[in-house]
Parts: sequence; structure tokens; C-alpha cells
Amino acid sequence: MANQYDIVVVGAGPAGLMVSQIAAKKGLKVLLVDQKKDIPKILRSCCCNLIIEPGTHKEVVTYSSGEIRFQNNNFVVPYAGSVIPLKNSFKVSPGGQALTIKGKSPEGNVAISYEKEALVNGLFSIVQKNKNIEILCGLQAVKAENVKGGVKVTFRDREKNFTFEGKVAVAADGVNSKVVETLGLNEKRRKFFARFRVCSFHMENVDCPYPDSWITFVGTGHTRTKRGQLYMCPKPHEGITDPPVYELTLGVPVAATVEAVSTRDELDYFTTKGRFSGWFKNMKIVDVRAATLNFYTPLINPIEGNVVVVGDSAAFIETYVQGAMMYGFQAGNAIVKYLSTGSGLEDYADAWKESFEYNDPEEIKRASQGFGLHVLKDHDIDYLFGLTRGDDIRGYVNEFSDPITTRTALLSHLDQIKKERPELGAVLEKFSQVSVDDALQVDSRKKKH
Amino acid sequence: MQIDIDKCVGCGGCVNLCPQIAIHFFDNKACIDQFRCTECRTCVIACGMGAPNVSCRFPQAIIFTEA
Repeated sequence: MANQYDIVVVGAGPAGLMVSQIAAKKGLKVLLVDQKKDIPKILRSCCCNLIIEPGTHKEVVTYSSGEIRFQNNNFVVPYAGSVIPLKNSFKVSPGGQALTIKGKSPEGNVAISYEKEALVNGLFSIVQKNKNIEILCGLQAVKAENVKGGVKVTFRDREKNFTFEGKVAVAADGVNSKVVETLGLNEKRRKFFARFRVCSFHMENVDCPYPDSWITFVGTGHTRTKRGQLYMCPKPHEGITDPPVYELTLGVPVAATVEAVSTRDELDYFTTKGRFSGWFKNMKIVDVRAATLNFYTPLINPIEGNVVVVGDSAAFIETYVQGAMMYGFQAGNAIVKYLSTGSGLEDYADAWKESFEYNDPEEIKRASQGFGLHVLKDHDIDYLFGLTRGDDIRGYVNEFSDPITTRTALLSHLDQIKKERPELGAVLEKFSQVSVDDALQVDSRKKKH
Repeated sequence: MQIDIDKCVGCGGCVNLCPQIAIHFFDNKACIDQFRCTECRTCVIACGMGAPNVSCRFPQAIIFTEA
């Protein structure tokens, strides 16, 4: 049977839109399918900012006047929305002590806050204009199979199944990828850690004492259940940056042994009864978003037959939105080369393996230790953050470098800590031995899918 | 299972995790196909909003039987 399409792209997020755009520009016939009716509408939580630290995913990403520039891969993505440059990263302890990281970029920024909806809208309008791309909405991927000469992808709407064939299929269906699952790759190539529930409130009229900043609430005392991780930052909302809308996000692991918490209830508690509820006295919720994701180790080999896995579908947690676009760009080019020369997919696989930090298991450990500062007691965190008052700490919002920045800042006071709190000093010295499971608050004895 | 659409925010977590592929988007909210659902409760565990709830799927059939 003749292939209907050159490429079937599953998922029209940043990665899928980028692959489609690149391939169609080179004349390939693309079918782009998404399960939502409204492709640019963002319904999921995404507390992502533009990560401007040079070297992230072996790339240098900059923003200026309506364009996001990827220097090393040499391409630009238009962004017509507004931005809020973030000047500081504050880590706030339950007792209200803050560890302050100031922006290290030449402009003094730690990251740049942007509106994902505006970005996806821009990418989608490019894709819509290209006649080589056929777009189907409201179809869910059921499974993908490698067949002779290509890939067969089955989709479903409310009533029936549809099958499309492509010479190549792209799995860009996100962190809980159905394509990756039905190819058996979750079983064969990945390790499962935990399931996380995420909820975000978008709020107006927040009296935030740390404006223009990325805020991480560290420690267990911020939630009733003593679990999870809270972040907050200003976001442009429908193009408006002043006054900003604040996005408050909570991620909580779902353990088999603990009654699962309602993330929404926890955020309600934090904003109305928590220690920092004063910030939220006058707030008005303009949007509530959520997400549920399974933490797997990344797919180090993102190719299975003629299926190419791109973006969060292959990642540990996420590639950030910019990573999804970059890997979409690389995968698109690799597929173009493969379909004209018979080889080239490995170019993308090699680039992915080399540049995605979490493909190195040590990086997962380092990052989750930073994430898992809460293996420390709340009063210890208060004490430690208090010590850093007045320190000139420079860095970025970036999950790969942030744990090192934080730990270096704390360890610079190690002599004093050892003198004043010898037990805590010993814990800090052994911090590198905290296991990933402990850091992610996973009950390793009883964890289940 | 049924989705309380006032609680559902349409994140799609249950849509993607449902092993029966019984949940789809309808008007940006999750919607469960009652004929595919096996009441495995995956969506209940997935959802942080408390939107999926166990409710009698075929109340009329049961009323009919009881009568």
C-alpha cells in the first residue's frame, strides 16, 4: 500500500509544530494530528520560562524584539507576545528566610517569562499557512506500529478509528506519550520513578514582595501534607505585563502508600491559610490549570524503526518549551535528509543523546537533589537561608545549574555551619548521597504505575 | 466513572493516561466514554482536581431491573 504521507506528526505542541514546519518547507507532505480541537489553547500547567543560560541543551537561546533566537542551531522562532525579564530567583523557606540568586546574564536576568499561548499561536499560524501540511484536530493517538515501508498510526475520535500511514511518524505527543507507550518503549528503555500531579493558579492582584522574580518555596511547611514543590512567577497574560498575573504552581508526587492529595485544595490552602496568605488577600483567580505526568528516565535512543520521538515524549520531566522547539527543528531536518538520502535519522538521535542533559544519569541525580532540598528539616532551611543574607549569589533559573548554585552558596558557609550546627553540617556534606527516589519523595518500596 | 465538568480544568492528564483510551476531550474538558470505561480508577489517581467520580453508569437499567 502506498504511503499517504511523508510524515505523520502526532501532537501539535511546540515540538510537533516545529517538525511539521521544517519538513513542509522542504516540500514533504505532512499530516499533523492533535487530540485537542483548539490547538493553540493551553490547558495544561506549564511554569516554563525562557532559559537564557548559555549551554542549556548545548544551545544559546536569546530573546529580542519579537524573536527567539537559537544561536548554535541557527534559526529563529517568532514570538509576538509580551515578556517579563526576571531579575532574581528567590528561594523562600517556610520561616520566611530567602536565598537570593541574582541574574547572571549581561542584562542581569535569571530567565525571561513569556506567554506559551502566544508562542504556540505563532508557530501554529506558520503551520496553517503551509499547503503541504494537513491538520486534523480532535483525534487521539491509539497506537503506532512500524510496518513495511513506514509507520501505521491509528487514531480515534468518539465513534471510530482512523489509520494513516507515513514513511516516518513523529511522536510529539508530550510527557505521557501514547505513541511511546504503545511501541513498548516505556517498558523496554525507561525507568519509572513516580507520578506527579500539578496544579497552577493564575492570579491578579497579588501583593508579591519579590517582584520580577522566580520564587521557589522550599521546605515541607508550605503545604498541609508536607509534600510537593511550589513555584511562583509573574507571567504576561493576554499580552499584558503590568500589573502582572502571577502563576503559582504546585507539583506533588502521587505515592501508592499515601492518600493522594487534591492539588487544587492544597493551593487553596496555601493562598488562604498558609504562612504567605497575606500576599493573596486581594487576589483574583483568572485561570486554573493542571497536569499529571509520569516521571520516566529519558529515552536515550529516541528512534524506533521509522518512529522519531521528539520533545517531552522522550524526556525526563520536560525539555523546556525551547528544547521541544530545538529538537523539533533537529528532528525535522534529520527526517528531510533521511527521506531524500535513506539515512540521517541518527543525526537527530546523536544530537539528542549528546545535548539533553538528563541522558546522563548523574544529571538526574544532581537535579533531583536540588529539587529535594526538602530532605532537610524546615528549621534547618530557615537557618541555612538566613546565613546567605547579604551574599552576592549569581545564577540562572535552570534546573541543571540551579542545584549547584544553591549548594555552593550554602557550602560557602560550611565552616560556620559545622561550628554552630555540627549535625546539619554532616548532612550537607553527605547531600550528594541523597538518592533520586528520596529527593523525588517516592516511596521506593511500594511505588506503582 | 464520570467527570464533574465544573471541577475539570481540561489538562488532559486522564485523557493520556487512561489505559482503555476511554477519555477524550469535549469542549476542552475530559469526557468518559461509558462503554469503554472499566472503572479502573486510573483517572481518579491521575486527577488533582477531584473531577472523576464513581457514579452509577446505567441508573435507568438498574431501576428497570429493580422494578
